[in-house]
Parts: sequence; structure tokens; C-alpha cells
Amino acid sequence: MTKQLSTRNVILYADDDEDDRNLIEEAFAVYQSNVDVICFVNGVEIISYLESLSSLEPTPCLIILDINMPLLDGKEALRRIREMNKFAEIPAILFTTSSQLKDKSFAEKYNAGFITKPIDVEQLKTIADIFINHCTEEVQKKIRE
Amino acid sequence: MTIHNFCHLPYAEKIKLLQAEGVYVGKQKINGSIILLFQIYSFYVEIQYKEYRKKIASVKVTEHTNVLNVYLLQIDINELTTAYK
Repeated sequence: MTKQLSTRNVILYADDDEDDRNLIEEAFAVYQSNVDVICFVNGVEIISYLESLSSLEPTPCLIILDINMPLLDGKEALRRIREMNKFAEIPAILFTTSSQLKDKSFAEKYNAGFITKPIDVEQLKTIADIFINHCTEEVQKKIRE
Repeated sequence: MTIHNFCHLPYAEKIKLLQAEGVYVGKQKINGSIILLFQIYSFYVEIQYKEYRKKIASVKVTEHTNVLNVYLLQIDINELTTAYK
């Protein structure tokens, strides 16, 4: 887990692909004064983080999950997150190389967004804003102020 | 969509279609360059990057399944084999 400490808007991102983690951290750099991205390498890590989160630490404003990860994949992690009362309603996104209908339906069932990973720069340059659009309106304003 | 039709699509259309319909197969790195393989319809598309997910160096299309070999070798089946021990 890599962590940039702050009490501001916290986005959690789990992905076993280091290149994709670096890319998404870079995409959020434009909002670095308002957003901290905390990265995890699998579903187990992100669940452990959420379970150990104290009331003194900021509640994440968005959770982004890759689907294909070792130990615990993004779909199972999402299911477990929705079972945790504190995070049952938190905005979440399945962010994946998949474009399969069954994965989209799974995201819908668990009240999460579904975004396919970008292939080129045209899709990449808007990705941070697309993620932020899934946050609550209040958080979106805070991030973009 | 045939491989012939796909090859004749404009670049932007190829990428759009690949993202909407392609199934990600795997990733490899050759001399620092990242290559992603997708399966779409009855053929395969390899995207080689100059800069990962930013600048595409080449788009190669093939119907030959031997393109899979290098990606299949990367699949870790340890979890599966240990589960059945």
C-alpha cells in the first residue's frame, strides 16, 4: 500500500497492475491540492484498510476497484464493502479491462459505477473527471473548487 | 465484423470498438515497451505503446492463436493447483 497522508478528500484505488496505479495517481495530480489517492494491490488490502479505519481518519469519498486482482478480486471486494454498514453507500466504481455485460450488471447490482480502462490518451485525459463525477455533489464541489 | 473490415476502420474507430467490444487477454513488456493483447470477434489485436495508455506505437491484428502463447505463459495457476491439493 502506498499512502499520501491528508485529512482531505480521500480516494481509494485497488489494482494489482503497477503501471495502472501510477497512471491513475498521475491522472489525479491535477487535483492534488484537494485529493489524496491511496493505492492497494489487491482486494484483501483495501478491505483490511477499511476495517481498520478509525473514526478520526477521513472516510473515503470514492472507492475504485480493478476486477482482476489476486487473493480477492474487485467484485468480491465490492460485495464485502457493501456488507460493511459504514461503507454500504459509499460511491464505488469497478474499473477494468472488461466490457462484459455480466460485470456491468454486477456493478449495477451493488450500486457501483462501471468504467472500462482507457486504451489511448483521448480516453485517459478525462478519466479523473469521470471518476470524480461518481462522488457526491458536495464532494465534487470540494474537489473542483 | 471481419478482420478485413476492422483493419480498414479509421484509427479512432478501431480504438473505440476495441474498448467497447474487446476482451483483454494480457500484457507483456518488451524492452520497456508495454503491449496489451485483446480478443475481439474472431481475431486478436495487439496494442504496442510508446507511452502506456497514452501514445500508441502500433496496432497489430491477427487471426493466429499463437499470439496467445507469450500471454498464456504468464498466467499464475498456483492458486488453482493448491486449491485441489
